[in-house]
Amino acid sequence: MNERTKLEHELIDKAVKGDGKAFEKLIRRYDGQIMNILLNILKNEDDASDAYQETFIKVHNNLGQFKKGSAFYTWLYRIALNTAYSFYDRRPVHAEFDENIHSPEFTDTPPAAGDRELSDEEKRELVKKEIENLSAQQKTVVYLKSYEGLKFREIAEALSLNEGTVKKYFHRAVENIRNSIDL
Amino acid sequence: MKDMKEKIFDLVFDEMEDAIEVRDAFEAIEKDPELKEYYQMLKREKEALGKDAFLTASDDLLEGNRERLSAALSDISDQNNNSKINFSEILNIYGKKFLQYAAVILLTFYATMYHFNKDTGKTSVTGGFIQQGQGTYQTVSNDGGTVFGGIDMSKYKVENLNIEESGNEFVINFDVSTNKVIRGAKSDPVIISTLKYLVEHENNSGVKYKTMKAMDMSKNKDYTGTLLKVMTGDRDPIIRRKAMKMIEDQAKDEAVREALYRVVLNDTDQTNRIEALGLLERSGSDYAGKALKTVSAESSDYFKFKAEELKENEERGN
Repeated sequence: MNERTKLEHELIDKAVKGDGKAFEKLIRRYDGQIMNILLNILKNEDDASDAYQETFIKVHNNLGQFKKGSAFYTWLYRIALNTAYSFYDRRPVHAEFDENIHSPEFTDTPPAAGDRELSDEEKRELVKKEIENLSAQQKTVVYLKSYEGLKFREIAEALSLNEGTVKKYFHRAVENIRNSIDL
Repeated sequence: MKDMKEKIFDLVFDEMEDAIEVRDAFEAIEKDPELKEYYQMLKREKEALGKDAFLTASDDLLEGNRERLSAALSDISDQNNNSKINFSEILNIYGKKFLQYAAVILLTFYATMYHFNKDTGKTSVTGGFIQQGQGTYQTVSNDGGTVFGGIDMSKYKVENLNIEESGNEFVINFDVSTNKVIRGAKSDPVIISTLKYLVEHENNSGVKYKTMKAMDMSKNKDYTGTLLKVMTGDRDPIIRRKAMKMIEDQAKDEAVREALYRVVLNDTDQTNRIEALGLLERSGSDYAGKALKTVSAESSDYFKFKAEELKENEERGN
């Protein structure tokens, strides 16, 4: 067990016994990452904030059930992602559709690459749009892989999915981006 | 071919851990133009899926949520503590006598507190400053001012507030920050110095990243020295890489090449080393060859592969 994990387990033990400072220290190791992933899945700060609160209250109330044989961050990610998906499911379908497909920003996108060379900034915007159009789970996989740099097996553990499925999601997302943007 | 493409996919997206597989993949890429093109396309796609493609929560959003969570958890904790007190159980065990004693103790306590407050002329607990570890509290000015415990509260934003109860005391623990604005032209020395200071001295990588983005927008060569320092010395590999990206168009400059050379030799992050080597190669610098000769004996398969490639080229007289 490395020093980091050892310290983490000490904090968990203290937090389970009611030490608020230890709980605060524990979550501050990851809450920035959790807030980022919630923001990237839910795409709005209010929902991301509510999901953040719900996630860490669940973590606080269930910390005693965490099994030290597994990695704390994957356990934490799993709670955060399940919370985010429940928020996602609560949204009316048209809101997601309106936001991502018919936004004025999207219709104002520059002509396709065939017409002229896209600037880096334009390409970045198109990639963002492509990511937004992915399903919640695909978006999560792309985020965890590209932004957090997790391995497919770690993502699979956090999402309770098969590693092959995770890889397939990522593959497909990359293909979608490739097909729509001439990089 | 399909298998090899899958391997190249793993290679580009950092899933390949076996050194022999890495070497085989690079060899296949070098031999087959179609695979080389596929490799380069994946690298471009990986770059397109970089941090810029995602949203990053602002410090304010995170801090606001931490405060909110802290308050919510403290409510939960209070509820839990309250739920532990079983009054009917207490009554059954100790009977009415208990309540009588408790009432006497409470009355004595309030009478004492009233006496002390009257002596100092203070009527509000908010005027009191309680110092951790001391049995008594020091009362400070409470004449409608904003200075409590020597801190002018109106000047600061309170963060990470934690209030602990200790007997009849409160220990109020918090960080303070204040809002400042510096406005000036992008070329203003004050603006330049501020950005340089933030990148060189801030501990928070998010702050550094944001500052570097501003530096990138101004395209000012005055930042080169700072960026070289960051590229070779920052503790965060992403910040070091960002600095490298920002000076890539200056790779023909001797100081930049020298720094890139040091990155190839010393950076602990493999991606940074590969990127630095690529920049040196593209700048047509001798440093690339020099670096490869120095690192050829190390364990990295990529560098071994590149060193062999260089040797072959030299033998062919290229």
